[in-house]
Amino acid sequence: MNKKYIFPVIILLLLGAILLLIPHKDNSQKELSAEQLLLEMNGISRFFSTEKVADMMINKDPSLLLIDVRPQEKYKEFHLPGAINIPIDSFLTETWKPYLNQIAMNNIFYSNGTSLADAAWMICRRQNFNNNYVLEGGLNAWVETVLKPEKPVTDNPSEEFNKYQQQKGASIFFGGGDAGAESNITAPVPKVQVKKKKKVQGGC
Amino acid sequence: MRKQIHILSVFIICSSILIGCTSNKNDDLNYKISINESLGAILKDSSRVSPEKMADIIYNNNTQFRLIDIRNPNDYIKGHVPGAINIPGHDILNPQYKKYLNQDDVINILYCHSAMKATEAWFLLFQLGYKNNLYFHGGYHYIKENILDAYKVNSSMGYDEKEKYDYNAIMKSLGAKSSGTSSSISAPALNAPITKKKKAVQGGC
Repeated sequence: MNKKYIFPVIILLLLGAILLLIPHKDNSQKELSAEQLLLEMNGISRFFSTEKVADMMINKDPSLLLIDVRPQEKYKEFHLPGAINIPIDSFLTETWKPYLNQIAMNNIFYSNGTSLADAAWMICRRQNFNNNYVLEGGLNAWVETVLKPEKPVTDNPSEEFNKYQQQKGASIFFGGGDAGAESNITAPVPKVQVKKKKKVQGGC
Repeated sequence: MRKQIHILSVFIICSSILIGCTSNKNDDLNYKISINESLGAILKDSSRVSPEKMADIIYNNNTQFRLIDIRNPNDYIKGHVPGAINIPGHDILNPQYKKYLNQDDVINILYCHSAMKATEAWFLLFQLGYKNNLYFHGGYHYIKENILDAYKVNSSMGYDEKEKYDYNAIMKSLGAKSSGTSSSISAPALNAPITKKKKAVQGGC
């Protein structure tokens, strides 16, 4: 009687031991496969243009969170209104994980150009984090298209001029035509966001 | 005794199925370099070829290096750096190219239209453990205009992460307050929305 059950018990124990090892392997597989990463790399859905982001900021899009991936000193010198700073060298620390791996916000990474923010995006995608995007052209493009848009040449089509007028407006908005404008803009934004969200949920 | 053999064989089959299910079939495309090491490599910035180095390699026809054009074949046919081979960026994981991208004979330098694409491709290959690859930040047009047609290499130009402007000076010229104050305003404001929002979302549902 006893002997009869010894083997099944041993087998069950051994299978259990193997099962214990499996989650460990699964964890490493939770990373995005290289093929999938390459596929997404070749897409353009992760890019937000500077105009689009400026538009979202002016309209106070509540889902927008700008993340400056440059070093802290650079962030302190200058950063986009409302941006938070997660230097790329601290991207893998646990402190920032709740910001990078979440579903509530659309994070937009930016750096001086595109490639550093894009590397940050790849680091996040490999870990299968979603809702992270890249500001195309970075701060250099921000200056060229939002802060100091180039006036189109006179023989350009009228759409170009309309676009320029919009950019000019954005430039005044972000550059702060009068001294007080910027601080007035950045501070109240989050409060408005919170209220808005609550209202929506009440409706549900 | 027979029963024991039966049970043993069942056990062996079960365990082999379990192991077979968990191990990845395509071991070639597994990340060989840990994510921490990969990030470290990007930060060290030692795999980026400077414009001066690039010019030196092209002018001296240095056979120690091989240029790889990762644009699509159409662009490659229209014009490419002499001696460069074409491996389209969307196809770099194709097994047929592995012998070029992971070898010990020469050092590859990837270039594309733009800085970002070459960096990306290199970064993916690096994470997969491919050896002897470097990347160049300036795209093909940079090489053509500043190295092939005439020597106009300026180290700041071929690097897209270089600050092209003094952001603070521009903000001042536009009439904004000094950014010192603006940063102190925006920083605390932003801690609030995330946590509050998350809670709010959960409560609503």
